[in-house]
Amino acid sequence: MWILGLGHAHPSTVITNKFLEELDTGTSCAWIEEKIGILERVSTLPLDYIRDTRNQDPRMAREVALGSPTDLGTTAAKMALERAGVTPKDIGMVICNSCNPDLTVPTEASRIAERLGVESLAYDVVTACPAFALHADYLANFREDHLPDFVLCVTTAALTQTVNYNDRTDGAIWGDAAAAWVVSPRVQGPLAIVDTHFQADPVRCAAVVVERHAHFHQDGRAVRDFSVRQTVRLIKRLEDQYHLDWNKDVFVGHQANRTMLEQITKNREIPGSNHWHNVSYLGNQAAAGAPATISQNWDRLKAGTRLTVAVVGAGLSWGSVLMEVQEK
Amino acid sequence: MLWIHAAGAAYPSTIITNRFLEDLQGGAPMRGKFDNSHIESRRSVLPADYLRLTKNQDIRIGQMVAAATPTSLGVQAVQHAIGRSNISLEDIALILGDSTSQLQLIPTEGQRIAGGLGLRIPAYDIVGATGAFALHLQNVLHWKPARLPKIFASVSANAPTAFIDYSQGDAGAYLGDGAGAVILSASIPQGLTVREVKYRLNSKVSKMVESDLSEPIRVDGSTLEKYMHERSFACLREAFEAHTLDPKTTKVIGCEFNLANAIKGCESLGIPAENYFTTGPTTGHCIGSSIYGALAEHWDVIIKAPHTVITFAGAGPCEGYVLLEGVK
Repeated sequence: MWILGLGHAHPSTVITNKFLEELDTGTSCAWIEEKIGILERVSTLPLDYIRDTRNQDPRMAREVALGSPTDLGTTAAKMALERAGVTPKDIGMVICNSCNPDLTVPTEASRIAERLGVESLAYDVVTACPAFALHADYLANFREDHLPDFVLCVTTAALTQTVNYNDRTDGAIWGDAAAAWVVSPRVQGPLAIVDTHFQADPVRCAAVVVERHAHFHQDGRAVRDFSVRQTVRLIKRLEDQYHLDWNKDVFVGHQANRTMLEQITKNREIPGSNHWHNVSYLGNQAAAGAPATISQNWDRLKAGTRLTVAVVGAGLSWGSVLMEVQEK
Repeated sequence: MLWIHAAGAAYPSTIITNRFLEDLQGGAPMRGKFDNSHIESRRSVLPADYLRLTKNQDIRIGQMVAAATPTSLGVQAVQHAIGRSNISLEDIALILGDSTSQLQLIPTEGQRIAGGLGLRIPAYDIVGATGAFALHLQNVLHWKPARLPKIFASVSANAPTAFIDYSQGDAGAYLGDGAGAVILSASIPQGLTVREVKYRLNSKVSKMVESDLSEPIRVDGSTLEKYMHERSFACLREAFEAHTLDPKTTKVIGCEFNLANAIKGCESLGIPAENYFTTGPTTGHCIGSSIYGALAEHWDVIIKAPHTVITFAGAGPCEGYVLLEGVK
């Protein structure tokens, strides 16, 4: 299977650490930078709204938002289609992961498909943050003759709309984003998918929750410990099986926390130059973080390089995708 | 090949009768809907006293007072299915979930149900709404056999009544809460054989049903009723023509709003009324869970029938059929 094109989309409002510090919730720029390594994050919410209301009633967030998860997903998909050199009419299937869609019916996939002019099967395949790995592993399940030439995968979330901005931690974490990628089981493209993996431990699923009508909440410490441990395990499995060479291969982790990512790359001895990330200035973009990182580096892809994406998150679920950059 | 080893269902205890609904809406306006649908009652996670007092006009409160959740119902449905099979809970190695009326967006309903069962297995949602049963089966029929675990489950769990404003609109007349589950295997032949699955999505996204995050569910009852009948009947006829089924011995499971039309359609194909099965009259339309519920309730008849056609059409808008073969 190959990825023919990747796209990303982010809203334009920037929430700086200074802005969060001035909300007077007990956080500080120094604390945020030290603990999670995020300097800025992007949001569909206007800054005035956050300052005035702290998003105490998250239902209001949707009414004032300057964009929706569907908007972001559609923009990301257009970029992916263009890079893949395919038109909406070429797409034979759309699958979408959305952490907080505006509507649960009709599905996010069908709404994005309609906006793009895609006339095909479209449905949501959902696991929150590890969706890049889930979608790759899910598509790998299919017998090749039962997949169309081109599948559009999208992940989208506007989790800043679920944040309680009186909470000194949650406000610093999230950023809004979408990512999309075009996959083919038979048409070769720039990224060959070599290995996929997806697993879950639903017994611990209460650790990360996006409520329908209330604020996001999580057991931060438990999630952080799980994230580091599981990401290291995912990388080690691929190192052992494929003899990855971190002098030329690239690692992209779940874009949740820069400090955590540095702990992981130190553990695996991955040099900074081969660790791609965007969390420092975009925040935790849920499942879009890792694929958006690759999309932002699309023109840097070098033939022969192997990209390891290892992602973890709600469910609790985790997974990995190993890809090899092909000759043009 | 795919086999359904067992089916289970679960419903909350509050019963909303037609009389109760009429009292909530001041009488006459709903009478016509009752006459056509033959729905006598529907189940709800909401306490009757709460409904009587508030009509659930603030759907946030409804979720807080709900006596059950899609998750708790989903857990019970799986346990019901397990109890009717010779499978142990621990044999289940994958759960595919579906819900469009989940109380929490993340984790997914499949993950919450797996967690509630104490299972540490891959679980994620493939969202199919009314057609979830068919979408899940179509998926796994197209997967490589080596990628499928020996035993896995498909679950749909819904509580749309928690999102209905009972002071107005059509939704309250048609919708009810419930969960359904099937235990599946692609390698252990037992129970019902899945012969064919057709799941189709019409590309034009419809507003017949909209489940907004923060607003009550909107249902265009008469348009949806018409669509459900026309397309369910078309799919039923398609199944009969494709497989030259015997209308005298073939059973039919449907989930149309309008039972009178459904039976008329069957009779026009020579299928006697007593061969048509649905749970709608007593449970209401439970979205994705409806099909599972009807299969669970009428399992003893379906398992002995040479063929059963499950036909559906609903929000999405989706349509299709599933052809099952009973034990010879």
